[in-house]
Amino acid sequence: MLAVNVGPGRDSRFVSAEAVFTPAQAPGIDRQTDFFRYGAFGQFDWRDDPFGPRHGGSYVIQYTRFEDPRLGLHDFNRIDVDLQQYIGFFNRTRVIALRAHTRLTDTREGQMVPFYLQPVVGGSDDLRGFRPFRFSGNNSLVLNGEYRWAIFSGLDGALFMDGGKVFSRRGELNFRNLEGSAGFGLRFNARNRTFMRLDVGFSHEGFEVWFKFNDIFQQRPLGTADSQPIW
Amino acid sequence: MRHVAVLFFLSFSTLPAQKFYPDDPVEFELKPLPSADIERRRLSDYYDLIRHTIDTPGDLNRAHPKPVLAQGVNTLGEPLQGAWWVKRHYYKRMSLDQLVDGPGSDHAPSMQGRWTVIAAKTEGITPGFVMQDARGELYFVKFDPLTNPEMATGADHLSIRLLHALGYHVPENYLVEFSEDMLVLGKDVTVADRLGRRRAMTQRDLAEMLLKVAKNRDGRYRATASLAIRGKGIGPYRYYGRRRDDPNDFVPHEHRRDLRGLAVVSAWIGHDDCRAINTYDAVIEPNGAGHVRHYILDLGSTLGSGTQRPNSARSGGEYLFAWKPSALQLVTLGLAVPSWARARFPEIPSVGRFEYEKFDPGKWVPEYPNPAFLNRLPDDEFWAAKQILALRDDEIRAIVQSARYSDARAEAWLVECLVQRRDKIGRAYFKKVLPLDRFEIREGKLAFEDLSEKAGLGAAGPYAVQWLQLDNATASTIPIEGATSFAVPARGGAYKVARISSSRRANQVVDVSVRREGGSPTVVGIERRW
Repeated sequence: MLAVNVGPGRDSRFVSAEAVFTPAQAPGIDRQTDFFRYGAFGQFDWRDDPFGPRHGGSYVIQYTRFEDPRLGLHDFNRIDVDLQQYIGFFNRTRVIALRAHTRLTDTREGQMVPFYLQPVVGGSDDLRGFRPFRFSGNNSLVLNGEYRWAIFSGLDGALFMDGGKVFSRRGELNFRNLEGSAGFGLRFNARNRTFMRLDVGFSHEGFEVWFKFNDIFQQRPLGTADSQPIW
Repeated sequence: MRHVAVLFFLSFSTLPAQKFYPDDPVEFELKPLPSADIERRRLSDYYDLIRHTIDTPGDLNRAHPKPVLAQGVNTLGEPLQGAWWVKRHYYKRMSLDQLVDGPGSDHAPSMQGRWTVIAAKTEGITPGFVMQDARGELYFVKFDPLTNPEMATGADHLSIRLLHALGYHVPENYLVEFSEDMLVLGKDVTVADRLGRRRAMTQRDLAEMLLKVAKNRDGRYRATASLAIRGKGIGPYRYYGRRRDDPNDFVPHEHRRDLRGLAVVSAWIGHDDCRAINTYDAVIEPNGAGHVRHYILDLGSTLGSGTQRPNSARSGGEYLFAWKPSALQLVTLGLAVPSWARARFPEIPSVGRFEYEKFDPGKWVPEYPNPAFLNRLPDDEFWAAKQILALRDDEIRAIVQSARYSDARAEAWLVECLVQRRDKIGRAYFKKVLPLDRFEIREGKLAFEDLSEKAGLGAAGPYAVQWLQLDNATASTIPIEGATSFAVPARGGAYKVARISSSRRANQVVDVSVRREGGSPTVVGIERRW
């Protein structure tokens, strides 16, 4: 069961979203509902250390079905594919970390993906040269590449490039018209686990500075009772 | 205490200054003063790391225009035997059985009856417990990680024996294999949860702890059982300064030869975790007079093992943090690849990351600066190297076999690494000083061994000698004309010095002092210069 809470904003300094966007522009903004959610996933994981991978790969595919029993307006399917590959060299003191991540949604006629469950791109974990939630649509594709190297035992440097886009039709799942960003960062480690990172991403819209307490490609635990699925 | 100080002052003031005293060379430390009242002290691991990394403490040689020579040694340059170190394999050849037994073989945990767990550590990276066997002996039991069976226990077992052969005090550790039903939970045992809160330990805690450690194919657990060191534990020693509440600790640790030489030993066995937290002082009480003995322990992080995972490739190559290498990596974006990062390690889970091709004994460093290691001089290195080179291939092999690796590759690789690293140490440190030792007067001639030649690393000779007459009261010397053979000259008084040099080693000299006592001359002093 997924309970969501959508309603008018309470901070008078800002215009409430439903006053700016219509339900056609932002499906689900006018009426609140809850979801019944179920799905399945498969994962092949051969990373050397899931909490601080320097070699190996993790390949996940996840199907999720969202049903809107209250309004009957927002039933949809979602497929997530997350591919991570780590190529360590020089005794894994240098790592090429690659990720491809796509989220595809599918609705029947008359159904819509609510705006708050639509794939978004932009922010600290994907397109780091853009502000959070910069792009949203029914489908998304994000590509990340990082070169990481050990500066000293507790600190890695990183150079990265990100590409991504959102798109309305699944047929547009390709590498055309990608938004791009690039930048550099620092990864603070303890016992080979990144506990803090600083990323500076640049794009044609400017630059963003991110100070985060997670690994850039971090996944939530899969298939456990006390946690949400990975996305 | 004031009376003792006054007595010392009076004693020294009445002694004439002289180079050698009648009882030189002294073999043992002075009879220790009672020190049973020393209180246990604790040391913060993190504080130690930060303190040594940011501003290394101690009286460092790099701060002196002329380095401070090692102290706590006799006139032959040997550390005094006692609380820190004793003469073993190099000085009196040990048998294979003695080398394999190491610090002891008589107190293995009893396999008769059950082991009572009386304390446990279930959280953190190194699960383990304290148990009492049926005879009432206490043991600290430590395991291998799931990913690397036999790695940490094997490393600990071997390094204990190697350090023992080299003269250091180490605990009696035993490799044990046992099944879960050997264990019974004692009364009132507590464990700390993730937040550090203590609670009663349950059988389930014990079972969960055993799930985190490696198990043999036969379902039994392999572990290291370390016999509790006798006496009163008073915490670790530091690698600098003195322990002010120990009246027998009067040589600053950073100037002790045995601790300076430990740098070379640590490099040999890859003991990058050589720091205060892995040492232990105990007040032992032979004949009722308690005094401190200094131990090295927790050697599971050696020989490529990082205890809970293979050691980092960086181990021994660089400190955890140092300004220059870090700045270089930052500026070059990692394109300046250090030598250690190019090392090749075979995939042997029970060994971890241990190799010899990139090993450079002179550049090897522990995880963070160690004042005693930083202060080492060529004669300290020579002292350690000569002991390491005294371990022959078959002796190393016998010790490694005793770790009972189920993977034959592990045994072969460790033997090869230890032999190759040993030889690299010989090549590095027998070059810095004339590699001559075991001086004695034989049939009226000064005899000695060229340790480099003996080890098959090439001789530094031919050697030339010039005898000098020594005024023992002033330490001044005068050449004895024509005395340029190794025969001890009849002329020149009671004390003479043989100044040995080699045309192939400019600036390297060994001065061997000889005293004629009655009719037979004996070697009383060795000084090396480089």
